[in-house]
Amino acid sequence: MRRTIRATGLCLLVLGVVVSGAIAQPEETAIEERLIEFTQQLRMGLTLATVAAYSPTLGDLRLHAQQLVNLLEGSHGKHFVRPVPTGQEITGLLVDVTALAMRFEAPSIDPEMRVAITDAMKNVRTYLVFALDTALTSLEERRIDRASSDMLRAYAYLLAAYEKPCDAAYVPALWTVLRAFDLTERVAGGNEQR
Amino acid sequence: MIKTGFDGRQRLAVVAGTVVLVTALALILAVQGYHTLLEETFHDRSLAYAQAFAASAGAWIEPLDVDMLRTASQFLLVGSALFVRVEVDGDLVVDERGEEVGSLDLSPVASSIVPVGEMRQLPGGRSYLDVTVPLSVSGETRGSVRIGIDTASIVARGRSTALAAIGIAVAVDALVLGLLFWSHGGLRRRKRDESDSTDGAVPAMLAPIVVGDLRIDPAGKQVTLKKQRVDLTPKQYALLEFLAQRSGRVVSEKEIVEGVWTGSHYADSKDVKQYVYLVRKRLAKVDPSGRHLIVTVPGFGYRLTSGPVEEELTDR
Repeated sequence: MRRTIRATGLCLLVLGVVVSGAIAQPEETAIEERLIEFTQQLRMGLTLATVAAYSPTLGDLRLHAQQLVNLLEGSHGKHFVRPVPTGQEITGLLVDVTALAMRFEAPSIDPEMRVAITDAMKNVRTYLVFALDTALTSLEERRIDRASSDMLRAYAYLLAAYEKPCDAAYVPALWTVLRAFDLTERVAGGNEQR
Repeated sequence: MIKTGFDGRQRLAVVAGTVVLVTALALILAVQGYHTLLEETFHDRSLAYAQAFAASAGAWIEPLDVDMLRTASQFLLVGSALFVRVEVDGDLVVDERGEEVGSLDLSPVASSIVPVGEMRQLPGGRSYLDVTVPLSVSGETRGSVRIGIDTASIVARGRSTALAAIGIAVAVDALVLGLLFWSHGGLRRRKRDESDSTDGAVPAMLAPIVVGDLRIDPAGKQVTLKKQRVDLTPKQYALLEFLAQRSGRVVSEKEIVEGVWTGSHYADSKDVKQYVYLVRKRLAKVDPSGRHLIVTVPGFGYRLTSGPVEEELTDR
């Protein structure tokens, strides 16, 4: 009887380990996928900021600036405007960055790495907030040159959030996180060398 | 005075015409200049717009992420972009079109190493700027991005600017012309008031009366014969002026009494005869032939004449 109980307990333990391993594996994959998705969305934000800055008319500029605001805030954002299509339903980069930061608290992540990536994600969030403020400012401009300047500034903040690698000093942001998860190759493809 | 008023109106019409013409000219030049500037700016910004998109699109070429390219293209279609086409290594990987373009045959444009923008028209007559820019990946040109940008917004802006300019021009014209007419009317009123204040005399009655060599100036109460002054008493002057105002026709003694000795109960034909004699004498003093200017018409009265007269009539 005792043997049976022990065998059953061992089986349950093994099963528990296997099940927990099976559960943990998708979570890690999810973080990576979320990071890649986040990077793609940020790239889309960079595209919107540049096309907005160079829009042929003030109307187009405002439209793209609003698209960027939507992308940053998400469907539940304070400044989200539904009539402006954003391609697909999005949660918003600012919502995503908070959610990702919470996921980095998971015990499976190396504590030393956690400090670095949490710090980097804080910077990402700061830059995204700056970009949002600037995009909102551009929406209120009545002159295309001023609105363009605002959108160029928004682009600079988004680029800083993306943390484009360079030889000069830089503030750790998204690229640092991607590197920590060994995702730089996957994200950059053959376009970037780092 | 009447003639002077007519000249003033003519002058006013010329000034008004000039103001309207100059305003219209300035308006045309301003709107034309603005249109050129608008089109140039639109053209340059459209090229930069396509280049910015092409630079972004380069990030999704390797590895090729068509979904992201399509999503980005759809963002543009919400605005002035009518279509977005991305061609990579000879393949058309993205061909997103707005409703206006539909299944329009967009013949392929040769890949260009420099950005090109050409004005084209849709079948409905709607014009758009067809922009083609090279698509570079890691410094290597791999294809092109072609975007059709609707010009409706700049056309509408041009129209609204022209309308606003016309409105401003009409307002300026109305203001200037209003001021002109108002000042002209004021001047005329002032002149009329001044005229009214001078003994109630009508301006036309102050014009000099010329009968042959005889000139009578009612304003200065002066008479000249052959440009020599004739000295007359006020009553003599009044008689001569009365006859001069009716020169060429016979004026009876009764008319003269009523016109020259107005309100007098004592004046009669004897006074008329006496004064005619005195005036003839004064005229003759300046020029001997002057005494023949007042002709006696027996049984009817007197007539002031400018030409030669029959001796027997005047010597009576």
